[in-house]
Amino acid sequence: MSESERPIHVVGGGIAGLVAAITAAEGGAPVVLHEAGGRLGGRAVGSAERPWVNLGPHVVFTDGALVRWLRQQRIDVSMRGPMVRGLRMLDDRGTQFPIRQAVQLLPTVLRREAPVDETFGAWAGNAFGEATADLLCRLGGLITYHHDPGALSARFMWERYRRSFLSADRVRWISGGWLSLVDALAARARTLGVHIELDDRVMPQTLPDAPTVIATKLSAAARVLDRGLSWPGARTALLDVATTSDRGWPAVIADVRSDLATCCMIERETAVDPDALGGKGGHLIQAQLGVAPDVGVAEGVARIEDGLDVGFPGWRDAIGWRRAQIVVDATGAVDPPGTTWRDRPSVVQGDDLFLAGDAVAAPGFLSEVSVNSAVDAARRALNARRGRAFAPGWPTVELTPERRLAVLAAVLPAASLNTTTAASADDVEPVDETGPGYRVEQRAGVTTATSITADDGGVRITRLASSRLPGIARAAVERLPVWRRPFRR
Amino acid sequence: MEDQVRAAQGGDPFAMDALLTELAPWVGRLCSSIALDKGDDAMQETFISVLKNLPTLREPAAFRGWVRRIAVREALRAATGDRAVAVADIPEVAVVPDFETAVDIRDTLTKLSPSRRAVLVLRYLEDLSEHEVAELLGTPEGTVKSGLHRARESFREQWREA
Repeated sequence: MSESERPIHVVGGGIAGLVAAITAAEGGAPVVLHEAGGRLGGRAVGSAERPWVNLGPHVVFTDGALVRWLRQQRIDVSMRGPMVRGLRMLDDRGTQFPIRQAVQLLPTVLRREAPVDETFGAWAGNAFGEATADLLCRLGGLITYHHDPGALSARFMWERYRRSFLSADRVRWISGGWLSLVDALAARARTLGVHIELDDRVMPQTLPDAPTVIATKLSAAARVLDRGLSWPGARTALLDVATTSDRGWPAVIADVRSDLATCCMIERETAVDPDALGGKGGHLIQAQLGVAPDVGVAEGVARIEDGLDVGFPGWRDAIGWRRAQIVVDATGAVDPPGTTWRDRPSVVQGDDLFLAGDAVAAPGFLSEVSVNSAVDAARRALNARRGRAFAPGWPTVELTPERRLAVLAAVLPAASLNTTTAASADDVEPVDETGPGYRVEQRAGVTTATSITADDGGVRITRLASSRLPGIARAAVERLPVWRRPFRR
Repeated sequence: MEDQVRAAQGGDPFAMDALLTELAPWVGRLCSSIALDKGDDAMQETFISVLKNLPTLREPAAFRGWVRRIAVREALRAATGDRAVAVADIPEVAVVPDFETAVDIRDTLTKLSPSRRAVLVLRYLEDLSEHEVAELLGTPEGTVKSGLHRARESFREQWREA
């Protein structure tokens, strides 16, 4: 087999695996995708009988990595929303419009930063007072699916809180469930010639000797790679109910009653997306509640049903079908105090093996972590493949981001370079989704490029700016060397 | 690749950047094998020269050969530019490493002069014919041939002694 035919392998056919396969195929490599199950989509697809019914409530953010990536790839996925009406809060006083809570939470927007080392609960208590901190911790359940959001890192929670609650207008529902997203990704992968193998479980002894992206759950990746890989996640009770009528129910209820340290979210999916039940009529209610390790399905689901009894009166008489379950580590990584996403299992695993998924070291929110890590892993696999194409064993040298900028600065018109330092990569705007690294941009005729490199505990930031001035301005600039000539002597 | 070359010829910074990504592993190995420790400087100079002179390249299909020529020139310049060690002082240990099994090709390469390294790189890494190597380096074909032959002979002898 010649080098140009040697494929990149992707293990796992969920969102991360499909994104990695598409990215690698677009980079010019033949790609083989190995999916252990009989269908693509992983956790993005519901049960075999009702694949269009997501496993619990799913949303995307229009400013997030997934939607941006889909736009870049020109992959068309139809979305609904935002949800502007029908949001209710269920607290100890009963069901109501969330006006009091909105007023209570409004001043918190002034806080932009939160520390990594403190728990969210302790930090919010100091910053906003006990009552507001209590509410914030419970609402954290909406965005983490965790049973005790107040015990997680303050920075982790605050970033997510600010992104989701302050830009609720950017929330979208994927029309027809995430099955439509999976179908669109699979179609693109096939168009790009990705070879998809279903019912193909990769074992440690069948791991290909080629650049490979492992895009499975961490526990499965640990088995394939035969090494310890783990990170805290959430344990979540899910109740999905299809009903024959809606009886004027609200669209979303956030149950924040004080017996919980978190929030039980109950969403009537069909209020936003009439196709949520596969266009078969009826109404789909999906609820999620983060539960502690010692809570079983019956107990978790009973607590969800209690919220339904208050918020969706008469729901029990209208049940078409129901599905109750507890999922573990199915809703992405959560970062405990003292850790950030950078501390999670690394994308780079050595020997040209790379990890992708929602619990590996990449920034973002829930599924965005999968997309960011998948793009990163696929790019690294492409680089590894290019590297392998040239006789191993001979000396080689890498093109560092800084040398790359030096090259561009030497050839782009009127280019300037400057270097600054910062204490931590967290303090600078990341150059791309993966933070340190390299990025080129062009705006209004000005080309800029940035590299961020680790340096003695801090980071070094090099920026290049180059501009091609139009018309008269350029002509004037081009005459400058003539005037300067006498001064050079 | 050819589309990227054309776009880069037109001054598109994204195409230039993409070319760097595409070429870096190959050019890095060429430069490092010939210029050794100065490989990173040689690679940087190669890319500056490639991008600056790109508009003069008539036929994008000839791109790789053109880049190879520039890379070898810049690597030789980087390796011999520092005259602290005269080329003549580097012992001409005529050893051709067994590229299949050599544990440390780099160690073997350090014992050769930069121009001898260039011959080996072009013949064994780039798989050029003796004629093409001679043409690229501007040396008579006989010199390339005898150099490689001597190297192989003495390698076999060393192998037998060991």
